[in-house]
Amino acid sequence: MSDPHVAIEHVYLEQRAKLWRALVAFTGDRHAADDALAETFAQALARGEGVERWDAWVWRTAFRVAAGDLARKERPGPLTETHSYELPAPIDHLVRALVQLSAKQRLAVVLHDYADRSTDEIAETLGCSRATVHVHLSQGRRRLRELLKEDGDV
Amino acid sequence: MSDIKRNLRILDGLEPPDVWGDAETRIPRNGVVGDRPRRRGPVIVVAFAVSIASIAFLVRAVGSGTDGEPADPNARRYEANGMVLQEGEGPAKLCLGVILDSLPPQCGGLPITNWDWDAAEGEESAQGVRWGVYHVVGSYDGTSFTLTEPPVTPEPYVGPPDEIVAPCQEPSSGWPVPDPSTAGDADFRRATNVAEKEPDFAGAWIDGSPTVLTLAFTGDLQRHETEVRQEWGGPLCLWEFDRTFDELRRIQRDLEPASEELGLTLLSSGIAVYRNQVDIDVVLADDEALAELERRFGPGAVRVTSALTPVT
Repeated sequence: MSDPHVAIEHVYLEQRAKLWRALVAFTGDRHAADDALAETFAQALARGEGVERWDAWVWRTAFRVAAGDLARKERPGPLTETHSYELPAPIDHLVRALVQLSAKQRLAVVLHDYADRSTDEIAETLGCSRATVHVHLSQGRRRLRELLKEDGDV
Repeated sequence: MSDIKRNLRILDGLEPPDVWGDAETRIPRNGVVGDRPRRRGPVIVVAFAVSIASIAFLVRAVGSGTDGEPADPNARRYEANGMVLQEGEGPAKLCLGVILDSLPPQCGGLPITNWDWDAAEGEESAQGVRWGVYHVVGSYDGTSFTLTEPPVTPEPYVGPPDEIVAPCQEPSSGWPVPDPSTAGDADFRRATNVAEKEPDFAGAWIDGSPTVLTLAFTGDLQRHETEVRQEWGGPLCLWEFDRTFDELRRIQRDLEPASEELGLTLLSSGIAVYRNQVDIDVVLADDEALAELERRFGPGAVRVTSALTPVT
C-alpha cells in the first residue's frame, strides 16, 4: 500500500464510523463532526506522505480540528434544540451530559472509554502528560456518572 | 465493562455520513489569523470554482528580532488574534497565513521579540513545541512584533457570517420546479458546464433545500435562462454581476505582483464567486495601498483582510 491516497482511503473506510461517532460525542453536534471528519481527511490527502501511522494521525488531527473549532466558538453549553433534534433520545441524553464536562475531560473520556485509544495517544492529542490524562479521565468519569445518574441512565 | 463504557456504546447506533468526496475536493482550511466562519449545512460551492480559486502563501519568518528589547512607547500599536508558536529555544512567532493542523502545528510568521509563556495562559505543547491562541497587542516594525500588553484569550468571533446563499428573492409561492425530472445533481452539473462556457459567465453556486442553482453573468440573463433551462429543471436564480469569472482570475493573478509592489505581504488569496470579489489576506494593510488596489482593479473588486489592525 505505497500510494498514500490509497492508504488514507483505507484508514478512512476502517476508522470513519468510530471516529465520527466519537466526534459527535465530543462536539455534541453532528454537523461539526461531519466537518471535522472531512477536514481531517482533506488534510491527510494534502499532506500525502511522511506519516508512519495514519490511524493515530487522523484521530489526533480530527480531535485537534474539532477542539480548535469549539475553542473558536462559544463554549458549549447545554445543547439547544437545533443541536439535538437529530439525535435519537438515548444518545441525545448522553451527549447532553457529555457537553457539561470540560473539553479536556470529555476528550479523555470519549477517546479512552469509547474509542479505546491509548493513554499515550490521548496525552499527545491533549499536549499533556499521561498522568494528566488520568486526572482528566477520572474527573470526567465521575462527573459523567453523576450527570447520567441525575437522568436515571446509570 | 464499566458503566461508562456501556453508556458510551449506545453511540454505535448512529449512522455515520460518507464525507470522502468532501475530503477529496475541499481545500484544507487556513489557520486562525483572519479566519472566517465557515457555513455549515447544505451548501456546496461548485467545485471547479473553489479548486482553482484559493492560493495560500507560506510566510517566511522575517528577521530575528531582539530578545527582550523594550517596546517603543510612541510606536503605533496593532492587535491580532492568532496562534503563537515556539519551537524549542527559537523565537516565539505570531503565526500568519497557513497553519498546518499537525501535532505539533506548524506555521510561518512574525517573530515576537518579548514573548513570555509565564504571562500567557492555556498553552499546549508537544515534541518541544509550545503553542496557544491569543489576542496580542503590540508594535510592528515591519519584521517583528513587540508586545506592549500581556497576551489574553481572544474573544469568540462575533462578526456576520459569510453566507453563500441564492441572491434572488424566493417567490411567495416557493421556488418553481418546471421539470422535476431534470433537477438532480447530474443536471445542475450539466447546466453549470453550459454556463461556464459563456464568455460573460461570472460564477455558479448552489444552496439550500430545495437546491437553488445560482448562475451569474455580466448580462443577457434572458438568453442564458433559455439555454440553462434546457439542462436544469429545478429552482434557478439568474444574477447579474459586474465582473466575469475570468476577470476575477486575472485580478487574483495580478494581485501577487501588485501586492509586492505596494509593500503588502500577501498571505492568501481566493475568489469569492458569490460576492464577485477576490479576497486577499495580508500582514498589514495601509490606507494608501488599499486605495491603490481599488484604483487598479475597480471599486469593490478586492476585499482585503489585514492580520494586524491598528489599535484605535
